[in-house]
Amino acid sequence: MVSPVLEVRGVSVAIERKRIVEAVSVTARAGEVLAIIGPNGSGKTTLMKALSGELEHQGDIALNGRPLRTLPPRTAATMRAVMPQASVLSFPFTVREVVRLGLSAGLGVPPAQREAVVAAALRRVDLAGFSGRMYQSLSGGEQQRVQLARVLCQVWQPAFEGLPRLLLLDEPVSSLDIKHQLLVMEIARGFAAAGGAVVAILHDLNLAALYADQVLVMSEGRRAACGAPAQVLDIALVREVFGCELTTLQLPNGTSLFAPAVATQLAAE
Amino acid sequence: MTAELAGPVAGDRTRLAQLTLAGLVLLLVAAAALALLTGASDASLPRLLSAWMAGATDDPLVLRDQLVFLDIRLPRLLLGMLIGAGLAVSGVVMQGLFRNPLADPGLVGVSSGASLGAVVMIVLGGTALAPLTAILGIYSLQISAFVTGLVTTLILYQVATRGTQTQIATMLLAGIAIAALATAVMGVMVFLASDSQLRDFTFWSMGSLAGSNWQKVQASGPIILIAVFCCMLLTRGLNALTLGEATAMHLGIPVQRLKRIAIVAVAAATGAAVAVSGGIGFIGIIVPHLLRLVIGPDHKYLLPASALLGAAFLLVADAVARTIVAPAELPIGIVTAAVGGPFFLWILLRRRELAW
Repeated sequence: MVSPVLEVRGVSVAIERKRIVEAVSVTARAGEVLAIIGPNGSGKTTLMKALSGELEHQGDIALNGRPLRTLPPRTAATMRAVMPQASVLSFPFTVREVVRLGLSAGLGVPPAQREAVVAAALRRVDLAGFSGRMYQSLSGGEQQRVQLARVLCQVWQPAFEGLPRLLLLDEPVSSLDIKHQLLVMEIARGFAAAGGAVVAILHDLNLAALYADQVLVMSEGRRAACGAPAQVLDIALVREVFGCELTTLQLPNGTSLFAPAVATQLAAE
Repeated sequence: MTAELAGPVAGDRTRLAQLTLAGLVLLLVAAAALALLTGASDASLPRLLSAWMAGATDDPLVLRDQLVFLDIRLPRLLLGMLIGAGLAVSGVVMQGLFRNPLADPGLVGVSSGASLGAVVMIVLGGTALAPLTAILGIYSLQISAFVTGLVTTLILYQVATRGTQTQIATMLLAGIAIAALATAVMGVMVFLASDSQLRDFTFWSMGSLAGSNWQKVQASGPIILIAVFCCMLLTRGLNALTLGEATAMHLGIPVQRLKRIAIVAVAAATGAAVAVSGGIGFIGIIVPHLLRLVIGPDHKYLLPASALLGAAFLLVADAVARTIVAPAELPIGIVTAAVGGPFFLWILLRRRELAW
């Protein structure tokens, strides 16, 4: 059994005394991608903010066995990186300068290698020629990929000093075209394959089905289900949680994908 | 052009920043020479130096030259550099902290708050606050300006920041309210002031380096130096803060501690500057803004570059203030406002186009 990178036990989060997340437990292990899915307002982002240390929580969150509450910011930054939904810069940095901010966490990247790490991260997110561009001049999707490159620089080695690192991605594909959605999911898989752990909020059930090892389904702040995609992404559960008509399409290899129920009606007509 | 100067990697402005820093050092040396060599008096540095060489220091002309250079222009030069650097660096730090390029100690009321403390001390220091003056000694003006400046900054931060967002409109309006309140209290002080206090106060409220002496250097210098030095240590945190407080925290920055240090340092630098020179405005906004256009917003270079350019800018402005209506002297605050007002409008117009 691989030891857990992130262990969440009975975590509740309240914002202005209103409970947004209620008693959620889940474990993210090295080598795995954990997808968090759920309808709008189900508490996904709030849970993510608790996992990143941004919001206070009740219950226990442990990062590599150490309680998150007691981790100094600097130490936490050596163990996990967080990609927010969107980032607005207050000053005009170039793409390269934004990505280098990831390195500024100063986590053991030798100075001589820094430029190479930045360049590799930009190549990885398909922004190879962009390092001299002003961040503000980029499209939303390009900015999102710059942020991913920055985050990848922060955790440039998926395992550091023997400890696996954690990537927290809050809707990492929300502004991306289909090609780059797949690219980002491949990056997440690659990070996990190299010994790290990934937790990503996703809206696309099919991306979750195809790329996640484990899916946490949130509904009204609670854990509705958690487990391997094949077990959890059950049509009845998904219909109930999301409250909409869906149907499944079977791939030849047995994987089921979701489509709006209207798809089968259209096909029948 | 930027791309050619920027070094081997696109988007890397390090070389450009280093060249700019070197250029600014030269500029500061030139400005210091200008400040030392110009003035209402016809004192001559070569004459003084040759007299020193010859050991002839009892000539009344030499004694006068010595007085002009060592006791008038040199302390004024040092104070000008320190205050210029302190105000420019305070501007950078406030802008980084509020995540807004328009934040400036003068514009948002920190200077008004600091002035209030100083004015209260000027008027009541000999009477109602005499016991306090006795304890604080030569630092009483600086410390009272620091305390009221600090309180103002804290109020401002509380009012203008909701969650992690700073509302620029709220901040500027809060600045107006604070300035109005400070003006009201200062009005009461003016009412209480004696004639000589009143004349000092009027000149001082427009901003001036006149009356610089070694005691003022001794009282404000160390405070400004320490505050500027503390600000230089905030480089990494201020850079990370560009991405927002949450991301700065994710990058390992102890954000609350950073904010506390920044607020205290800004209040100390502004308070110590205001205590000796009164309200010199716009340096904290002009200098960082110009430098960001050239070398970008990386605080590693922006902070030292702002200190150098702020110091040089104030020395030149002071040289202008001293000589333009010689033998009389213009308050330096008028010179910086004459440059800074139009400059600020220009920033507003540009921002409207660039949308940041």
